[in-house]
Amino acid sequence: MRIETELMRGAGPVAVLKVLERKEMYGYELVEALSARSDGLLAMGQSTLYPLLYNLEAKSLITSRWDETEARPRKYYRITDAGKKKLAEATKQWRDVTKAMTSLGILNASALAGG
Amino acid sequence: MEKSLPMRDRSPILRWLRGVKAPPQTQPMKASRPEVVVAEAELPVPIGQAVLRVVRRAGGTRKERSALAMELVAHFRDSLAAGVSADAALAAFGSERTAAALLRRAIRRKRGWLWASWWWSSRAALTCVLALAVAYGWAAARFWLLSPTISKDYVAEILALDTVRSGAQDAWPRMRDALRALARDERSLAERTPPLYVLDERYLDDAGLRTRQREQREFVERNRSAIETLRSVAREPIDSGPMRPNSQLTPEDVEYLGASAIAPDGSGAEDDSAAFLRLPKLAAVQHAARFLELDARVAAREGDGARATSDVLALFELGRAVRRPTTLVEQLVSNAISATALALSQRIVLEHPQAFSNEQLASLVEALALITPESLALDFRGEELVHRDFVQRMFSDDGSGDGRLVAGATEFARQLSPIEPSSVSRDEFSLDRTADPIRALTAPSRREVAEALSEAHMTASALQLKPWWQWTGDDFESTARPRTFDELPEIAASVLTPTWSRTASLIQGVASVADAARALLGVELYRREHGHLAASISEIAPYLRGRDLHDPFDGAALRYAVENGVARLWTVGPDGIDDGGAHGECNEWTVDERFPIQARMQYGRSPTSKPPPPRGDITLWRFPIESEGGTSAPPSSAREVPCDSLLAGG
Repeated sequence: MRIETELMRGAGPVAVLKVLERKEMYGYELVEALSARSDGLLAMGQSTLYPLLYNLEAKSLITSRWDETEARPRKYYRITDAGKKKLAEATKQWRDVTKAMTSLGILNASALAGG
Repeated sequence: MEKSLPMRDRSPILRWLRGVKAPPQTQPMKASRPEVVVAEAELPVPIGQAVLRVVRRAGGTRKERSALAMELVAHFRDSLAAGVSADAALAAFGSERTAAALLRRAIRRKRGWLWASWWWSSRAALTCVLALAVAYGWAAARFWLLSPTISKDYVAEILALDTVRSGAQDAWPRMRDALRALARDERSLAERTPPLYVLDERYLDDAGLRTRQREQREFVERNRSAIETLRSVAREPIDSGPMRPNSQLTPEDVEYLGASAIAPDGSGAEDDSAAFLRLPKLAAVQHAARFLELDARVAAREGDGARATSDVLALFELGRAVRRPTTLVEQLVSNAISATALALSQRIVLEHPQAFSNEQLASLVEALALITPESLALDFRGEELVHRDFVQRMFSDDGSGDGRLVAGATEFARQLSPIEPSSVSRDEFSLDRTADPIRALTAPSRREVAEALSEAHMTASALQLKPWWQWTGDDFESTARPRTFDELPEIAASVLTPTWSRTASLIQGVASVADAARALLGVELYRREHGHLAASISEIAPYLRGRDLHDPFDGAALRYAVENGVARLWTVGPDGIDDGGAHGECNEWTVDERFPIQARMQYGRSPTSKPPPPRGDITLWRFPIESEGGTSAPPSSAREVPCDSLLAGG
């Protein structure tokens, strides 16, 4: 199942920031992590991942560095303090949304707990 | 570190001095061209080409494109290394176009505010340039593609104002034949003739003057019959009005006037615009007036007051005969002939008072009394029609009477080359420079010009009958050309601007010259009846038979005094102050010089940027010329002022 574009537009950056919260990652690694950690639900098109990373970098929510020490040079992305702050805000908002959705009966509390 | 780096961390020297480690590498060490990056990666051909397509479409600087290529190459190498096939990797990547479009925007966002400000300002500038180009294109299309709409035959309307038509009552053929005989005789006197050689007495010493006067006497004697014809036809209707350029003249007219009189440029132009109306006979009528003037002077010298009086009265009649509302030129010629007649009246009576009987003087007074501002007033109907015709040949018409200046105006103005502005030399004058789409866009519209013309017409009509002493500063301002015409391109303004107000202002001066001449005749009539000169102007009032003698500069009576047996008449002059007759001397004063209304304008303004002209009165005549003590001299209080300084100021 794929998420609607509009919904993904809001969830994508938060998901990327969340994944990068643990450690810095390069592009393909990020794709894989998003796919694995969301059961493929947030496996966004790779063509949109890189523009999303560039935009987050333009907003100083993430930063990047080139590592050319290995055989294959890679660009690593890492969350910034501003990115962490943004992630915290977005997380709270998502929780509020989830709570509201639960109250409306769109989400099931037990299912959420189980999930 | 996470945010953009401060200078102290970016500079290797500052970092070394502060003992700080190098920041992470944000750009690849070497920025090879994307093609090289892809080639060195040895990716499958479809993937390599896809990467290059995305990079190319995403744009950016070479460094940005190289970094993007390296990142995409790394992505696909990782993908292939993970066991994904080339096709599957490309499919997983998604739309190249979408990626390129999103990347292009994302790359720009990363560039910072300086680049963003440059990008937006350059786009804004480009938009402005495009908008200007579109506006210019629109203006140019309108200027070049629209053409003037000739919807009205103004020439027909002008000609309809002419009440005298060629026919059995037309005195022109007899006048023409008389003039032909006179011109033939005059050419026998001098190879190169001034306007009228035999009449000219300027720049002659006593001997030369005696010779010239003998020539005049002999000329008049030889041509007595022709002059008698002129005197007689002056009282009849004369068809001297305007003609269309393609009108046919009789062979006799062509022989006398010359073919150029009908189409002076030799082009045989058949344009039906009012600009090409011809007045071929008007100059001939002016010549007739000069011959009558000559005969009057000769007659007065010979003591033939009856003939001289008859000539002067014929001149007044001639002035009235050519007067009609069709064109301003005809009315100006009419006024000029009247001015000649009244100046002549004054001169011949001053020089030869004994030649005239009381009855003759009285008849002259009556003729002079008819010369009033009202009789001289200009009728602008024909002239306004001429200008309206010009407007319809220079402006487009949107159907509701409005329109814009169009390229056709340039062509029309080119045909009127004699009207080129005098302030610009012929070499510098460029029609292309003076009328172009932008200037046509900003110039007043057809309706605005038409309204300005009507306003100028009304102003001139009103001002010409307003006595000078009642003029306000606004009146003087309104004699300048309306601002609307200043905003027109030079060539259009030069063609359209009316000069009516200036012309109209002269009328008061001409009427004042008539008053001065009438006063002289009144003084002489009084002297004959009482045996001495009148002591005051009020004493001659019964002899004037017309309006009171007003000084045009202050509205009071013209100043008059008798001193040492010499009567003097003077005006207070442009400063409006009576100095008791201090005056300037000038033998060839024109109406302008005798009554310098333009000089008064400088007194009427405060403050003025120009120094006012010298103060002083202007003597109109002294009588008799030969006093008991010899030639009459100015009073001791008089101050000699150069004639031209009265006008020039300073």
